[in-house]
Amino acid sequence: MALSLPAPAAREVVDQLAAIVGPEQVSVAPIDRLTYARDMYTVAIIKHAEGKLEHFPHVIVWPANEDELIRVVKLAPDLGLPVIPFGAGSGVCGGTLPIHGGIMLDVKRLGRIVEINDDDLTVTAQAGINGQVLEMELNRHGYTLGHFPSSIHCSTLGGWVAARSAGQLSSKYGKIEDMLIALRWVCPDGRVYSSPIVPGRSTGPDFDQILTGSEGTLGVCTEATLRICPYPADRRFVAFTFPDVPTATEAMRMMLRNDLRPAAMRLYDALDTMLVGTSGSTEHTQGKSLGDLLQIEQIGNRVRTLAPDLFRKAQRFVAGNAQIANQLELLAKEGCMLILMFEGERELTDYEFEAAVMICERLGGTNKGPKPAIRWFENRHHVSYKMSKVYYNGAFVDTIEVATTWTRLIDLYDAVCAALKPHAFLMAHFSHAYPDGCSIYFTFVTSAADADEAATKHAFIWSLAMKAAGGVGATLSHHHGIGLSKAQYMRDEHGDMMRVYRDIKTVMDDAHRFNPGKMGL
Amino acid sequence: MTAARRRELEEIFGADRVEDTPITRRLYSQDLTALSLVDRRHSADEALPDAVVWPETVHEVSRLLRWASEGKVPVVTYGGGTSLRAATMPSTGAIVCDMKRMKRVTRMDENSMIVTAEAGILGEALQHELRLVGLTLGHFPPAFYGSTLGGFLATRSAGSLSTRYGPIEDMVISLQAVLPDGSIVKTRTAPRSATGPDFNHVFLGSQGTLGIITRASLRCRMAPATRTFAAYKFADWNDGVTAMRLMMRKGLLPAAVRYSDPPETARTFARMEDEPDGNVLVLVFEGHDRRALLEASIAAEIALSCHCTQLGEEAARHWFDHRFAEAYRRSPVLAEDGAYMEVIDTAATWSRLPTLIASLRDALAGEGRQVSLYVANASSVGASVCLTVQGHTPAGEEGKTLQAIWTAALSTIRQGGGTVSYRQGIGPWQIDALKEELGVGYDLLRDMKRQIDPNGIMNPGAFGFDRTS
Amino acid sequence: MKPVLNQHFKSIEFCTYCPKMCRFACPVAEVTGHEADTPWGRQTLMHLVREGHMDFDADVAAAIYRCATCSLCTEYCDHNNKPYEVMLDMRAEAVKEGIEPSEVEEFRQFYSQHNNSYGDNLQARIKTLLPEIYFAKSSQVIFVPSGSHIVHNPSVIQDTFKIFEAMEIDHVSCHVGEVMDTGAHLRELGLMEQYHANAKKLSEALAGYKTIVSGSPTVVYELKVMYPKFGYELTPKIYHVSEFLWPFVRQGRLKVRRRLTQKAIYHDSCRLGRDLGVYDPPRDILREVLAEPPAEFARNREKSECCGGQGAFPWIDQDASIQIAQRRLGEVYESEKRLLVTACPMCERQFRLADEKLDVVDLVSVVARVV
Repeated sequence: MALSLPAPAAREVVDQLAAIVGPEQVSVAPIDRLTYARDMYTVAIIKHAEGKLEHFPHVIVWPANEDELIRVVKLAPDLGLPVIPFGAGSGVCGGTLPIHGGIMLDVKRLGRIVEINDDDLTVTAQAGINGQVLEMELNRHGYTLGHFPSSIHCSTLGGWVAARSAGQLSSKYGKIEDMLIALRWVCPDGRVYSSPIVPGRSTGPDFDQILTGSEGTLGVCTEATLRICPYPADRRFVAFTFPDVPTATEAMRMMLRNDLRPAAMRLYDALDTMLVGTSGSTEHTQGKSLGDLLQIEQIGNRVRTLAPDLFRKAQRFVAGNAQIANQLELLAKEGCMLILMFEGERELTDYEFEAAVMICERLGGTNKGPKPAIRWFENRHHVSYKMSKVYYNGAFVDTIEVATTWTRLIDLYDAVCAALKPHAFLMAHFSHAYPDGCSIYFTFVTSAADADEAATKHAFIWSLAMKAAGGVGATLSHHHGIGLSKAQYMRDEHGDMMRVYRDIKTVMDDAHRFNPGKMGL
Repeated sequence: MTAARRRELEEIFGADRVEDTPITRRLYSQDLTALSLVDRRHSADEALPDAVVWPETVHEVSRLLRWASEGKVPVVTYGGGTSLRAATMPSTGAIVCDMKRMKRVTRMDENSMIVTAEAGILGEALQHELRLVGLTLGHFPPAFYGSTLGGFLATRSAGSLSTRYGPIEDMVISLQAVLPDGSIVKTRTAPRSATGPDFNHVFLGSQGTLGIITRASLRCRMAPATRTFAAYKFADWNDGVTAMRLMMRKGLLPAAVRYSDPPETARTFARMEDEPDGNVLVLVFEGHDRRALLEASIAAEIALSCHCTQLGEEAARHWFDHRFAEAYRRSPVLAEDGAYMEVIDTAATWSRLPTLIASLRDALAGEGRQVSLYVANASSVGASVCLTVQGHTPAGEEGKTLQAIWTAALSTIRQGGGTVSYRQGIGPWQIDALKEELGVGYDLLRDMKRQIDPNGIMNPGAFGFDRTS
Repeated sequence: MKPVLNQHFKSIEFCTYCPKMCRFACPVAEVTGHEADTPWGRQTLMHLVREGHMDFDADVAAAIYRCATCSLCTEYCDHNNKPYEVMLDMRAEAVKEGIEPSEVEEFRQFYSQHNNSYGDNLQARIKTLLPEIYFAKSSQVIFVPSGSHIVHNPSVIQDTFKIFEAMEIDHVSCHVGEVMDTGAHLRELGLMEQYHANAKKLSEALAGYKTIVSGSPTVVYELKVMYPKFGYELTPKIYHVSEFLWPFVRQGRLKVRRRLTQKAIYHDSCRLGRDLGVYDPPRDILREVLAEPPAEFARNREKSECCGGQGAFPWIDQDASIQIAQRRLGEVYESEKRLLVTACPMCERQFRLADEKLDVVDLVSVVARVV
């Protein structure tokens, strides 16, 4: 049963696009239409794998520069096709799915670093630059951006801006929107928006912050100027275990409240801590890491050691039997693990490190030394590899990243756990902590017979999670964005403010040409 | 105002919260804009609002705007009336909506260090409430005592301790606003979000053109346990700028970094015994004892490596204790016929700052005129420059002179890569420069305004937006 | 065809579900920006073919040829996946089915015509480069010259023997014979029939020696790793010239007249580095002949980036291969002027094509300058 793709863009369309970008940089080939048909949205991955994707772009273009990109954007209305800006396709919310077909506007050839300014500690780079390439270039010149999403290897600057990305060191460096100094942006009508590179201004609403997070619905980012930092001179690591989540989050809160800004601050709940062996106390963690958190075989091994009887029950597939899997928590004796890393100038790092240790110990934390934290740091991108293993094992996985204030944090944790645990194997960690609140990153694993069942189950679990999170007033996404998968919840999140979004959409893209069908517009 | 209209307003606010007496109308037609202050010496010909209303709830604001939209009545939102950029200057026939009765702190989340307050609360009152629970907002603009939270938000204001605490827009977590058609909108109180555009930023800096901000939740910090002061004198002006930059680069976050040139130094420390002179850098560190001391010692090392002499902490302490003094400065000057004084602020990245400052000095220098300036609000990217221009002209010429000063300043700022306004908002005389600075961004703001406010009722004329599309 | 893909089942599946973590490391993907040019893209196509959702047609075949087999992706793979192995196997399938890109057929004809990948009559040319004495078969050590060197930069071969002489290593003779090319490109392009015929002959010709040395990592890799894999086990020990020379240098056999004061930067070739694990000998030797140790690229050793010349990729897409080289050179341009040193004729050739004015030189020629 070979896939049948709908008709591609007509020959005239291709010719017109080719006149702009050159024939080599336009494609209607099935291999391209297939590779641009999905991002990392769980349901799309499963459908793709089963050859069941329904939507494909009509045509893909790869402009070489902003000028070509503008001409493509200006041509789109004549062609009558939607335009979908595309970076690296690592989004997990279906944000780039061409649900109405259209022109995939791949910006990766706009991949240059324009300037690294030493005096101003800024970098200006084109939107298509790969995150890791950007960071490595900065490192080479003695700087860091401090932005380390686990997708850093496979995402672009433009994608970060489009979806309000967060890195693992956000407690110190902030999210991408906090780093943003200025943007260049091609509007849906082809005009170029460009904001001034100044340290601050009182010149009306900051349109940068309106475009940031618009996920392709208001046009396409072509360049951004971000603040950078000198590469940290020093790093200090430490890990603590706490008897329970509330005690541990209290320690996090107290550190941030007292002006400590750990680069990394991650708390794993009891189940998460046990499964990933963060404590380093058992042999199986040798050379492994938190990155293995979704490795099913490992869950099996761990369970086998701890409870042979339970292992038999769970043998078929742990994640497929949510209640059984979640009972593992009863076995979690190690409590929950808090990972801390400080970086920057030596004297300041030393101070922060000592102050943090004092706070954690005062609040009943057990000092586990630097090892678990170092191991996390060294393997910090590995989590992104783990999805493959889960899918390979016939299951599927997704993550839910919600955020709220400290005051409501435990309510949020309890609410989502209560809602989801009957239906999926669920773990959580608390990363991206700020003085005013924190995000919770839930990972759920479950299985389904086929793509259709998976889609239904996936949607059901999400609806429970969103209802639970919304019920305690949490924001429904901290850094993954909205895209297609959460579009239906935009109204819950924003209420009448969606009118303002629609007004801006009307002003910039009345015809809904850019990334139609997304963001609940 | 017609009796019918008044009745409609009274239905919303009750008779005692609608005023249209000549005195009230006159008082609400003024703010602290230098150009209008000097003009007023010679002419009483001003646009007066029809009435002033004082809402007490968001629902009243909503009803007001719905009413205004239906009748296409201009509405000017009014906080402390301390704008230096004519942000609340009403047009004839407008209703002034004075927010100062909406001044409650509606929620104090000590645990998350978030305060939620209504927009009409004065800066000082808000800070007082926070002080009671051991918190601080850290937002101390010069007009702190007389301005409101709503005003801070509507202009994207920055205080003198913004290096540590950030400008106001960084403190905002969520807000509530009323759109011109009366609908009430709000954003979610979460530390960060990735649920589309940040709609707070539609309203932050909008100067009353897109609706009325009625409430906001703000990030606070712990009230500092300690404060450390230091001051340094630099023989060479640029060495001091370099020292500031290097401190920021090192990751230090002094609460205040303020570097004044000789005339500004003289003004700042005029009332101090043994006042310092020359180029003086004032540093204030606050927070935890050890951290503040540590940062101060690193800062000292950097300062000394940039060729300066240590002044001891008295000067810094003096500045800190009198940090709102510059807001008082103008009155004695402006009281005198023919005298003028204007405060011009901009900001630029470090690489552009020294040249920008030098060319501003050149451009603004003039006979019988004193130009002084200080650099502050430093971040790793750059800093602000605040210039004070003071002088005398024959009576009646003040306005013309100020216009000329602004023209020179704005074109120099534009050429030097500075922003047209760092923290005061935009006055009518800055609009051309604003258009240049924002380019397409200006058109987008204008189009957004027309879409959200199709009847053009919100603060007509601000940013140069037309009354209607 | 399915059996081949089944062998790679796990690798294909893991790549298919991965968020493309290695994409930034893929030189082809980085210069074109095309999703189909990422390891993920190629593997996903294989997944769809394996599952029967897609036909293995000429378009798919063209896609799997767009890999330079530089293996940097594996360095960033937690699963240690080797997508290029899948590609290589599937290229052979493509050739079997006659759906390979036209460039492959062009290469096949070129190879048949010249009996090597570089054009020219290598057998005749090598004879003109060295004195007859080096072609005596009596030696136990045989030097297999790089075809690329013979055609594009013969002085490297002469320099090699000049060094042997200077270091009093007189037991090396130079290979000459009907087959002068290992046929690496044949294999890399999936032309297995020709590859086997070629490998059989060459392995027989080299069978009698104790040691094989080559200045080309491609040659070493082919003889040492690939020939045995395809059934042509060679008994001699096989070394890259840097590995071969280093023990002699360490013994003090290299008499350096005067160390070169020129500043240099060393580029790791993919084959020599990642595929053969030879990182230190070239650097050790350079330290002996340069006044100042060679500078390093920011991405060096295991993380070194491809020159674009690997895996016969220039035959498939010359423009992209040159862009890959230019990308690597970015770092050379921005520092003070440096001599770019490499120990691989492919890299040297690519860099020279990318910038004819560039000062790029083979390791051996650097050494020859001081003896």
